[in-house]
Amino acid sequence: MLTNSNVAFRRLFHSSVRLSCEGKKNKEVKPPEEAGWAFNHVEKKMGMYKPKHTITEQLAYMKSKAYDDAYKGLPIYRWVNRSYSRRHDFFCIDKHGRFNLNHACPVCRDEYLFFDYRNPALIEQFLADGTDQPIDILKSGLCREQYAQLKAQLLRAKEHGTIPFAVDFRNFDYRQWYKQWTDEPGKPVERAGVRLQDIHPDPLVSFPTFKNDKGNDWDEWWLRHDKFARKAK
Amino acid sequence: MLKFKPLLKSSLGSELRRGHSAWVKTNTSSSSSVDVEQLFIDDEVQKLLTNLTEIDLENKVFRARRTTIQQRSHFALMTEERLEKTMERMREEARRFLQFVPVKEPRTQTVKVLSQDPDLETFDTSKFVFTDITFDATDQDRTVVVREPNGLLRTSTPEEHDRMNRTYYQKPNRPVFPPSLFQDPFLQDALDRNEHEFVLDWACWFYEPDDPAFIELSHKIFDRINARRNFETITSTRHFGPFVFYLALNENIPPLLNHFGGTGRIKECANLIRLQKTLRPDWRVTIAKGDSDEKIVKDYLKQNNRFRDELTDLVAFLERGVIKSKLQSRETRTVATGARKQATVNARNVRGAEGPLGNLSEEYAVKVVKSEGSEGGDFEQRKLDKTPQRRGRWQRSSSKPRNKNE
Amino acid sequence: MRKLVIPKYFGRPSIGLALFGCTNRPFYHICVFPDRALGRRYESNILEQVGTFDPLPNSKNEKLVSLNFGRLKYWLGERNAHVSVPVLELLGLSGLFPIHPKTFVRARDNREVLKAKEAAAIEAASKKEDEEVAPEEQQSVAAKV
Repeated sequence: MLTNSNVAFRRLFHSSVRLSCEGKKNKEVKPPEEAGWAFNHVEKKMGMYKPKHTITEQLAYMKSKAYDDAYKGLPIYRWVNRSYSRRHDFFCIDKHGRFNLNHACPVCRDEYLFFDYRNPALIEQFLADGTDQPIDILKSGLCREQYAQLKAQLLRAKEHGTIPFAVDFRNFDYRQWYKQWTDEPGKPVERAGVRLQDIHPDPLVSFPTFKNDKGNDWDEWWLRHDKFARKAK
Repeated sequence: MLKFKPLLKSSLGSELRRGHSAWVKTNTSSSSSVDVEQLFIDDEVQKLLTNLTEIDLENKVFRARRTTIQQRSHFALMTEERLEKTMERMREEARRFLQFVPVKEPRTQTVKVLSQDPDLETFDTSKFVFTDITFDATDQDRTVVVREPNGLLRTSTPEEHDRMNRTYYQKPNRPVFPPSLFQDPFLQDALDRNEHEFVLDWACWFYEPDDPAFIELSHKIFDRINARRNFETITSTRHFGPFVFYLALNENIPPLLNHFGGTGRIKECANLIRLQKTLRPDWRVTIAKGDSDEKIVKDYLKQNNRFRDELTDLVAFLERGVIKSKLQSRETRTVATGARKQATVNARNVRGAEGPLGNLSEEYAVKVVKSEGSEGGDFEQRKLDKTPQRRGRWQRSSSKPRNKNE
Repeated sequence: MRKLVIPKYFGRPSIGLALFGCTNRPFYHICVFPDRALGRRYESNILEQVGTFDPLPNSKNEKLVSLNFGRLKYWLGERNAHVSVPVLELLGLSGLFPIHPKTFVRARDNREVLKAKEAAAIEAASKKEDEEVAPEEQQSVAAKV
């Protein structure tokens, strides 16, 4: 049925073009797909489909002027408003591969973009500053599917070395590895474990640290509570 | 002819006495009997290796890395004296981070057969691996045995043993199977991006230092560094010591000598030659006790004329004092980045764009409470940038720049 | 009545496999259960876990077993624990105990099955050859005629 209507529509379109062209002579107007206009080739045209592209095309696109013009060098989620599409049962792209939402997520809406470990630049946009952890899903504006993809491809990128990270520092005890070694190992160190106060203790100023309720005497509080509560009664 | 005879004899003897060391490659001229581990922990060798490893705080040891926990940048205003003291402390801390990865012979691949039951043949289609998870057992002495489908009970190979350790005792960034980074297309990619330190760090976290796979991998990386001559990537890391040790043991130092010579570090050159002499006492170069660094290097050049093509930078430095532009460009780069980070603030520029406000200084007026003259030289204070600090939340108040003159 | 004994210290504990997997994914913990005399009600009060057994072979075709030998020796030696047959088989394979007779029986059965399969395969192959030969003969006969 759909196909028939489609064909009929095209026939009508062609005839109208021909009619309109009769006035201006020697000017052939091409059908839309030949002229390069946006046209849906897919038979079932209930929704639009996201084209499939390879990773090499994606890499070229990320370097192209079109990408730069679209995103102005900002992270791709920067100006995406997803407040309309926050339901957990809303999918950017449904199970048939058609666009489902008017406000698709920043990755789904761009036809060239998908997460892949060979393109670390895209993954890095979604990492918190200076860490190897992805930012919150609400901040990123991604749909659940893409967020899961992000986490998976991030792990893959780390395993393939495209996104380097701080590996924990391994403290070796030489006595364990060499029988003849007798020296004590130094204090174990850890990456990002060097604190300014340890390096440069300042005796002039004392910095009161936040004291949480650990190791304090809670009995005291309850004793007093009993006392006053009873008094109040 | 006469010179080569003893070498031949010694090489023969070594093969007879003990197996070939994995750290000595066969293509070198003399593979005399060496106990590599004993050589490595020798005091003299350790001292030389420590001296050869420079300490680059900003660009190497404490460079910005992608950590798991998010951290703030921390700024502190301090006087010159304090800054110097702090830097000294940082250098001490950095020395701990430069602890060498142990140089070990690979563990033996041969397995011990514990029992053999021909009646058990085809009791199952797959192997059974039994791991002892007793609390006291360490990763090294844990018992792992394997029952083959043909009824053979044997001890595990190093690969199986470490895999079981990784399976039952998980650590972050230590998956059960080695990551693809250690295989070749990806390894080469990482090395092309100069991620040598990252790869080696992860390898020594993932493998045990006496794992045959680790030794093979590290040798592969060392060889590629040596072939590409990009020693910059590994200097001032904990892997530089084993790297130099490996080169000197294989009498392969000319490229590194050339690198040191090109950057005008004659002391390192001499230390490197001394190291090779320590590791290879039968080496023909002679070093007297009281020799100066320059004399050692010149003697080396004289006696190793065949390496003269490889040592052009060193020769140029010794003869004309030319320092290659590579290092200079690197220094200027660090200065350029450092100038932004460490700006000296004083009474003259505190109101201008160079002061703490930057471009905002046009909009806002800066008020100085005490002038420079009243407090002596104490006002001259510097910013120290990016002191890494753990769990930034609670130390926030301490890290705010405080002006004590107020 | 139930409160009168502490299952942990009462009677003779037993060591067996406890299924801890999920659908289509068996995974066993090797556990110490309280005395059987207390009934099945007390089977859920696992005293201690002394190991695991993963019956699905991994990508290297290995079945992984982990055993806490130190604690196992305690339960066997000090507390004289009863051990179920599957665990006895595992302990036999690991080399701690002599090999359980059931393992030998299974090995023999498997060998017999394999032998039968091989024989069947050989028979089938020979039959096929015969069938292939037969039509050729017929054709040659037809050509002669």
